[in-house]
Amino acid sequence: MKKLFLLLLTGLITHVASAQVVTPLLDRAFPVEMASAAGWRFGSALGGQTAFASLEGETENVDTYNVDSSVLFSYQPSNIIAEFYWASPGTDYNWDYTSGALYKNNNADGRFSLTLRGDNNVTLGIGYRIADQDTTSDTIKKSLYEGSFSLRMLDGLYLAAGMQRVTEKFASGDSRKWNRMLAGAAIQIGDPLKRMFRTEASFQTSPETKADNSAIQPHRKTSRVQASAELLFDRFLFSYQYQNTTLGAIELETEDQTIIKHRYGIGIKLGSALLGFYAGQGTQTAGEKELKTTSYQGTLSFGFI
Amino acid sequence: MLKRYDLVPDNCPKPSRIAGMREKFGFYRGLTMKIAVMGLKAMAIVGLLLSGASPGFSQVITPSMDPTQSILMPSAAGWREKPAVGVGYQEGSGTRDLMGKQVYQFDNSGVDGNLSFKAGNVFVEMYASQNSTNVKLERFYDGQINLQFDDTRLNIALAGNDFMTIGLGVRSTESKDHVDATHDSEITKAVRTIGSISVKTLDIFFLGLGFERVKEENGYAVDLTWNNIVSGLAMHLGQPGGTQFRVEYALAHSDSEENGLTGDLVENRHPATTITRMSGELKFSGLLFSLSSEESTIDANMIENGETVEEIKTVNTQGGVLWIPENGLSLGFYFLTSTADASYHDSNGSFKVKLAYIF
Repeated sequence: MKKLFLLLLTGLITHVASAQVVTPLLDRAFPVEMASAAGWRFGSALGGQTAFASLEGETENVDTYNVDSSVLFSYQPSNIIAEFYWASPGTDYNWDYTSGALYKNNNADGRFSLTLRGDNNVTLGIGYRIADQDTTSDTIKKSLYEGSFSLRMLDGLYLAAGMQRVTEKFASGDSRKWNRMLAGAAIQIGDPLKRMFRTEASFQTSPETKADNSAIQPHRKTSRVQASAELLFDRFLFSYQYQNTTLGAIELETEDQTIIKHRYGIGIKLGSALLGFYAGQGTQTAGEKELKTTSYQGTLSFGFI
Repeated sequence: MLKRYDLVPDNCPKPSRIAGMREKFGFYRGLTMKIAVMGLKAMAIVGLLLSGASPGFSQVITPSMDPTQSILMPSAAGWREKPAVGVGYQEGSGTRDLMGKQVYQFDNSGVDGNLSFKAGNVFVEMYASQNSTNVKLERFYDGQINLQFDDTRLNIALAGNDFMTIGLGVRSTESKDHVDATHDSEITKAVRTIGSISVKTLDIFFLGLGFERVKEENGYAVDLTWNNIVSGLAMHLGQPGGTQFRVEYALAHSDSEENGLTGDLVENRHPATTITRMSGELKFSGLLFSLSSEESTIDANMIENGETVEEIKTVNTQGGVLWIPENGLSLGFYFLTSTADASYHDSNGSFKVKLAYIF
């Protein structure tokens, strides 16, 4: 049991990075990480994506598999923005870096956020997210409550901060809870219908947190730096995203783990529709052990400005 | 699952508890042990009603800039800037540790609503809330647990010349508590009548003083009445529509009060209690940043879980951000934490969502 919960926390590499903290991606198929970011969407949106990945470890490999498929609907009748996101139960692999073994599990992801935008220079959002994990030996019900706000200044500079309260409940009745702090800055310049440049940098962190039951491994101290840049040039969208996650060592471990991801993408605008294609690479490192992933993603979204 | 009290008959408490009751109450002669146990428990109930079970963060001297935040002293209603109606929903979880071991898990949720309006120089505020707690309880240990807490308030204030407000209020609370394995769902009701006055001076300072009469009744102990004195100081800088800053400090105190046995009912005792409340708020560009704390100290002086507990201490804090427009829809959130220390240690964390309309 103890080993299982350790593994659950080292399976982040197969998640495809996308969610933004301060402002939403110009490709509308992707959800936001903080609810306040949804307040900066340009009108209502409808989108979907599907992602595939393959893994290459030192002792085990996994051929191309479907990570998940998702739909997003963002409704913005006035200065109120309601956003729904739902991903089909997806597949993830947990990595036991000591043996190199990969363990398959299923994840669910559902999100709802409600955001108010005030005077076009402030947004405030609340969010709720369910991210259950179903492994071969246990089911973990994971939920997040979130509150966040953002400010727009100098026309194109955005600052945001928020907090998420994360709860994991295990089938045994034990639970693990922690707070995740998020903050970031973004610059967005141009016309979303023609030419626009957007870039964002954000940081999030959560402390090491012990579970109620000492037999369960603690939540690792986690910190993540994320950056992205997008350029909308008439009918084309160019996209790049970088993510660096550090998972703190726990108990007898001596070294932190690092996950680095890069994602490149191109999109084509067809009227109000946007078709996107993305390719990503990731490396998870624990000491001298390494796990590599390659991912591909396709999106289709519609905007109603 | 074997409960702890399955091992000990109801009429035979542990020796340490008997000794504690003799030491504290001195009324063991001629009474059954069970009644003595209930007397001890009744005291604890009153203490908790004043602190942890009661939703905190009410403002005492001046109202919060959050239009959904309730007030405690009615005269504070007279300083409200705008009428508003708001609702809140809260959900959280927590644990109780005893001697380094977790003994209970809590899941709590609650709703509340606040309505404020004025007619001429008469300000009216109405508030209602209901909070409930589910407990994962495999064995019972000393120390009660609040299962549900209902709170309704009506406050009316008269404001005169932007200098002084006088208010009258009535507050009704009903608490359902898990007292012990036998009395696992006891109801305690209290009605509070409050009179208060507040004065504005030097344009930014507010002084307030209030008197609260509390009458409590429940099904197994005699009725009890006691008084609370509340006072405080607040400072409010800035004007509506611009940047505003507000801080407040308030102190409430009640002396110990006892009522002896009547018929089959047991003694009731309210322990001396002191509550300090602090809050700070900053509002700019329509965003309100709010931080509040409430700390109570109850002179318990009792035996619990084999330990002498001199005082029960609870600390509640909340921090939040809200969008407060000049008028229209308002939205916000708070993160709340609370701890209670007696022979056990309680720790809770909650998330609260607020939705309001400002007229």
